[in-house]
Amino acid sequence: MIHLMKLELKKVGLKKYVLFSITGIFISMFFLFVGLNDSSTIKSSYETAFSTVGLIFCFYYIVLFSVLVSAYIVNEYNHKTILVMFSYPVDRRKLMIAKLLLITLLVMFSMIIGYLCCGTFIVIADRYWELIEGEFEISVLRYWIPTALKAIITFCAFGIGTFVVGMMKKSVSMTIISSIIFCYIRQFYIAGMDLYEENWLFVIGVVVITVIGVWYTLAYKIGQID
Amino acid sequence: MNGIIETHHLKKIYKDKVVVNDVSIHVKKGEIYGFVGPNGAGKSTLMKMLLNLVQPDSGEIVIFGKKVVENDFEMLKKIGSIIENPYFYEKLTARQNLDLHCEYMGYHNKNHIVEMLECVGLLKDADKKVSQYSLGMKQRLAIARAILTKPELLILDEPINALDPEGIREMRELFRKLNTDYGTTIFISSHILSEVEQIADTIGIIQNGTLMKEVAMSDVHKYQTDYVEAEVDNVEFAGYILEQKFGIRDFKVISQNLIEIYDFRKEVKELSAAFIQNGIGINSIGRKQNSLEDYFFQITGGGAVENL
Repeated sequence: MIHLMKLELKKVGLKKYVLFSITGIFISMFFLFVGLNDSSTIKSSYETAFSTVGLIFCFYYIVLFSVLVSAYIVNEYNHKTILVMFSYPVDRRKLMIAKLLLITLLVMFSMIIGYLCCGTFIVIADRYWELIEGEFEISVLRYWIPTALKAIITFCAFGIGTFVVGMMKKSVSMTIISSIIFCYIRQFYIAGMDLYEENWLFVIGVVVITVIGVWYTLAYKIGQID
Repeated sequence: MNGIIETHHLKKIYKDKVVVNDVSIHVKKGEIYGFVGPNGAGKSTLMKMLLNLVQPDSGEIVIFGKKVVENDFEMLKKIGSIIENPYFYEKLTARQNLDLHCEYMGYHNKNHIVEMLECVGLLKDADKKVSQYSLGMKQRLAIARAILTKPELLILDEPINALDPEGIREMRELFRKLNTDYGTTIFISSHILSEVEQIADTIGIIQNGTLMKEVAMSDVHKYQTDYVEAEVDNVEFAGYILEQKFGIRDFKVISQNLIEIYDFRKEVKELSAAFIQNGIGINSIGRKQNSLEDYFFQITGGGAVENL
């Protein structure tokens, strides 16, 4: 599996991914700064500040995931290179799982770096400009870490969901549009439930639906090359 | 194991249209099998089924003596292929594409990459991105990729498309060399009948998804007869002269100005002299031989001319 993932990396490369990731982290920090610095609203707490990171990351990383799904998977069908891939003596499901796993690891890694950068940024920005109510204490991490964990799992599951949708018609536009729809689903759920972040019930629900979708896609959709 | 590929009553339906219908082919070990037919006849679909890229609706495929099942990919280790068009990772160089191919095929003799690039005349362009290649260059590269791992069986879908005449000749020689030197069995589809004629040991003719004929080229050659073809300005009168003056009845009026004579009791110069003496204008006259093309049209009923 690792060998297959390395071969995938050889094909598409990491340049765009690194560029998108770094840009995403800087954009997130910018929006975070603008949001926390808004004098027309009440001062944020560390909890609400972190949920703002979740909101920005939700849009950025699910879309990034869908872009990678398009580049690594859907385009193989559109450019017909899948005919070459499938003429190799390798289990086709394994090939797909390697691609998905690689994308998931790349996005997860980028999100972890993003959370570290944005968390650090919040603490430093508060120290210099006093943007947040109260002082930063280590106990805040007890809230931040599970929040980040839930977000990473949910966004990756949604990202994998874009693979499921994109593979229905092997369409890049469907893949990208589905990512935006998934972002809205997450936001509607949080707003509807009056939460700052997704709860575990939502995370598990998204993961279960995604697993079923992936199973269906691997069983019935990857072999459809025409 | 004499048969490398055998299909039994293969059938494939796409959206209510039967694209492959009850096709049973037999490719013997070490032979070159030419698979000919007009565009849309079902050649590519059948080749995709052989490579397990498309599942047949009914029938079975046996390759290397083993029935092909949906999730068995082991047989692909011994097969090199080109399907439809030469598809590559365009942002990678030719060398990188071949390197990737070796990795996926589990073939570790990477020195062979240089040999193959040289073989298809692309060594000097090996480090160019494939996106900068012309279609002809891509086709050569696809051939290099197909033969890179020295497969036992080559499945080549229109491999000489987009090649110039020199390229076609080189590839023909390469296929022959692979076949004779390494015993590679080659299953090659093409609509360029003259090429298939020069290379194939056996041909399969497919039309509208149905295998019309599977025949050894030696049998086709038996069918190929010599004749005299005369292009004249008055075929009726020319026919009259042939009958009355020479007693020749074995001829056929092909069109308003073309006549084919199968009786050789008179020399071409005698025939042309007789035509001229009787005031028949001759545009051309000479000996010809029936080609695979003639055979093909006889089998397919000539209806496929416009698609070829």
